Amino acid sequence: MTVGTPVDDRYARPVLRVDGGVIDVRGVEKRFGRQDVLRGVDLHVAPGTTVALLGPSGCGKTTLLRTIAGLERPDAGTIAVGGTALVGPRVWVPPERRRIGMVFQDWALFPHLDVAGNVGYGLPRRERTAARIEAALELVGLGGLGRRAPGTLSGGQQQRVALARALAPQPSVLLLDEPFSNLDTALRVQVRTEVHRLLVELGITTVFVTHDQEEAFVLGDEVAVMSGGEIVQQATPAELYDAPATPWVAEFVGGANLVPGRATGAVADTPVGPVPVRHPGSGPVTVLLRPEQLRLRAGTGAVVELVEFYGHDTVYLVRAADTVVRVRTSAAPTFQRGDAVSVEYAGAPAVSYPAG
Amino acid sequence: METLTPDPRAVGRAGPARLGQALRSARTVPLLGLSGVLVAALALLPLGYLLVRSSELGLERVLEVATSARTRGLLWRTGLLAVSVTATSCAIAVPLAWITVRTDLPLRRFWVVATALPLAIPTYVGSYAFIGALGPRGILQGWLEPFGVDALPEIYGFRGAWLVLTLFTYPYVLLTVRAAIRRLDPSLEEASRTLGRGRWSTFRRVVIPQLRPSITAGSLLVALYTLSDFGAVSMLRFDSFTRAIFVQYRASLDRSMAAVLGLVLVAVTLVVLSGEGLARRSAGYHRLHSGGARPAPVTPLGRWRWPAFALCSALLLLSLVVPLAVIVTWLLRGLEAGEPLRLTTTLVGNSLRASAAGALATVVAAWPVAVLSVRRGGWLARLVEGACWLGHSLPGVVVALSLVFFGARVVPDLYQTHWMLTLAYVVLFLPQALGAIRTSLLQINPRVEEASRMLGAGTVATMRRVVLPLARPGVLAGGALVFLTCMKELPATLLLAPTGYPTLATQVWNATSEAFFARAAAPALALVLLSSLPMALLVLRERDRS
Repeated sequence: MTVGTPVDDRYARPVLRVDGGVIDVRGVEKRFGRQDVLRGVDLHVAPGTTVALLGPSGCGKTTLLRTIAGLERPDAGTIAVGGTALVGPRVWVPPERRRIGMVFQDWALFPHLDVAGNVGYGLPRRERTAARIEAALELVGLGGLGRRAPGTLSGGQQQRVALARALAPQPSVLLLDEPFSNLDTALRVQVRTEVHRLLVELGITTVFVTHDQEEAFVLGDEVAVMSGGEIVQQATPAELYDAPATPWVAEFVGGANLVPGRATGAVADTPVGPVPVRHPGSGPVTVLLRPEQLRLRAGTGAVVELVEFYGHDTVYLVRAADTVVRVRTSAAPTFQRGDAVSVEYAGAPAVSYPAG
Repeated sequence: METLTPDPRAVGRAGPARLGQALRSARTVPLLGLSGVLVAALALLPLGYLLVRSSELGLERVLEVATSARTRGLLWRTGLLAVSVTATSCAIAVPLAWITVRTDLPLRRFWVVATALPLAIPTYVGSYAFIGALGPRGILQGWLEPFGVDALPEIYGFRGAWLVLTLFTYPYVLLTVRAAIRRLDPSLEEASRTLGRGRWSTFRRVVIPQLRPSITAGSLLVALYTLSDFGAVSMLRFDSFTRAIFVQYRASLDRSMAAVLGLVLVAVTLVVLSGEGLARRSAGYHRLHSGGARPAPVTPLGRWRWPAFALCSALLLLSLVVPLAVIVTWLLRGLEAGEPLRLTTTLVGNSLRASAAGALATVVAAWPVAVLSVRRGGWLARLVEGACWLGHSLPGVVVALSLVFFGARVVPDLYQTHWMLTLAYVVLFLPQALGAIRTSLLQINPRVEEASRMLGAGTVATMRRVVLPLARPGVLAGGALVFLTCMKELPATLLLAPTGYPTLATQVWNATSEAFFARAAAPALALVLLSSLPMALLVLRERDRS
């Protein structure tokens, strides 16, 4: 461990030697009783990158994380980290021998040990030195707090102790289970940024679970969207937002107007007028129009039903024909409830899905 | 990426890991299961051997004994005693619970503590005190003799047993009902008042129905206690089941008869226990609110304030002051007469050693069962745990009797050694230790154990470094509870302690049987002091909650 120049008052920058390992999950299945929780999941995480497992509750994302950790044993499939098979036919490496760091949702700090005892827990007896523990604490900006009891720390501090504890044994992979869900909203953004910076600087391979789209987009180099025990789509946040694989993903990763349309070649006829589509076709389709891709103008054909002002932007609920669409503009409201308007599409060729 | 092709490093790690894991799982998981099964077998041993022993008589003879006029008489007397004690306990405890929580009774806080204290007096010590005061050659008789009174109303028999058992077991009802009253949501009563019901009508139609589950639960505790109590009925010579079993065993050659009587008693106990199970389940429908944020209003007693105070005082006098005064009087008389106190130190030493062994063995036996039930679950865990809770329903005299048979016949080398007594303690008090350890294990966040695994500690290391330290308060509390209960235990100690190994409990019993009241005083006092320790804890905790 070497200590570099501090970047801000909270985080010194001692660079922990980690060689981020590749994570390779193939065909993992898991049943609880008669319920299929994971149905043949494939997940690939490149060395040193961060992947967010995003999905609604009950989609299997936490189970997948716990399977990688070795806390759940899959019924089928293989898992390898850094080229070492951990799970496979006749292979089972118990969690304590995987060298994987994990931060639990409720942090799971040992209540009978002080902060230093927690951080030093995973170190072999020889390496369990005060200097080593202090270095890990400084990594997360908690230097000097080693003698405190975990219960006396704030939520944000406990979170960082959990992170220091997971990182101290120098794992090649870090797993985070809903790491920020136990923090209140104001603290969450701040801690998230700090953790983000730390992960980037360490270059450790990270998988984290979240149900919050914003969190997944901010922290993840890639986002794997899960639903019903499967990974529906794994892509960079930008790709995911721009070209969601299914209408469900489109709605899950951001505001989406899914409007009915009829395609004729590269254009689809929709309630908000003709919209260019990415994949030419013909027949009934569902077209994805992001609210910020729509423009309002005084005119005819549509009526403003509701105005929601958010400060940095304004959202209008507009009825055009039988369809209600959300339109997001970056200014203060210029239209009122009941105003007659026309809606037009101003984005790149849109994504469309076969209707049905 | 060919990540699954095992590179040399991977083989080096995963290969031994695989073997190690196989060995480890073979060692730890079945080890836990195996020790659990072993403990369950020990817990089932007394009942099982009782069945074996009875079956030697042949089914026909067993049925004959079980339905004989004598057995029916015992059932009648035992049942009558249980019902009478339960009824009087409720009659005392329910109003007492109300006035000590919700009214302006003078010195209310004092009464909250004082009314629970009789629980600290073992019933055989209480019996000793009443016999020492009212029995032939007792204190009162001595005082009245100069006036020509040579016979007092009989203390022995039904009336004595009824009085003593009521006085020293009513706190079971008191404590459960009081807890329920504290959980009552006062806004329900206020709602009733705004709907036009008066104070009394509200009490009858709103409060009592909410208290019914707790009254039932407390009553069943008292009934169970009465069924299995040996000390009071044997010392007060009331011929109920436990005494009859003991006499049958001591006096006659046909010991299988005692075994059959024991089985009948176990059956009766199980019936009452299943009643408890039903009551607890139906209590679920009466689920009470966690209590209003506001404290419940105080009901003024008005002109009943001082009569209520007088009644509380009378109860305290009878259940606490008189017994203690009698014990102290006999202690002083004994000291005057040169009763050797040295004997008492031997008794204390014997009791401490036997109880320490019992507590240690019980905690060691309870640990794997608790871990199994909290962390593993499944049918095996449920079965093992169920077997261990059985001790809860076995009267001490029955367990002791069965182990005497078992020791004499099957393991004569262990018979008349401390091992048999310790085993009896384990069977009888396993539920206590199990309850305490289970509770402390349930409070441990399973994520914490997983965190330990993720940080490289195996199952054994996790047990040592995380689970045991976190469960330590529960283990210690369970051990202490069992220790104190062993100190007070009478029938099993009487039957199974090696000859020439008197303890505090057996000394009180023996000396009282022979009317050496002075000799029983010091051990009786020691027992009361020891028993008040957990009582003090209980009462303090109750007060913290209020």
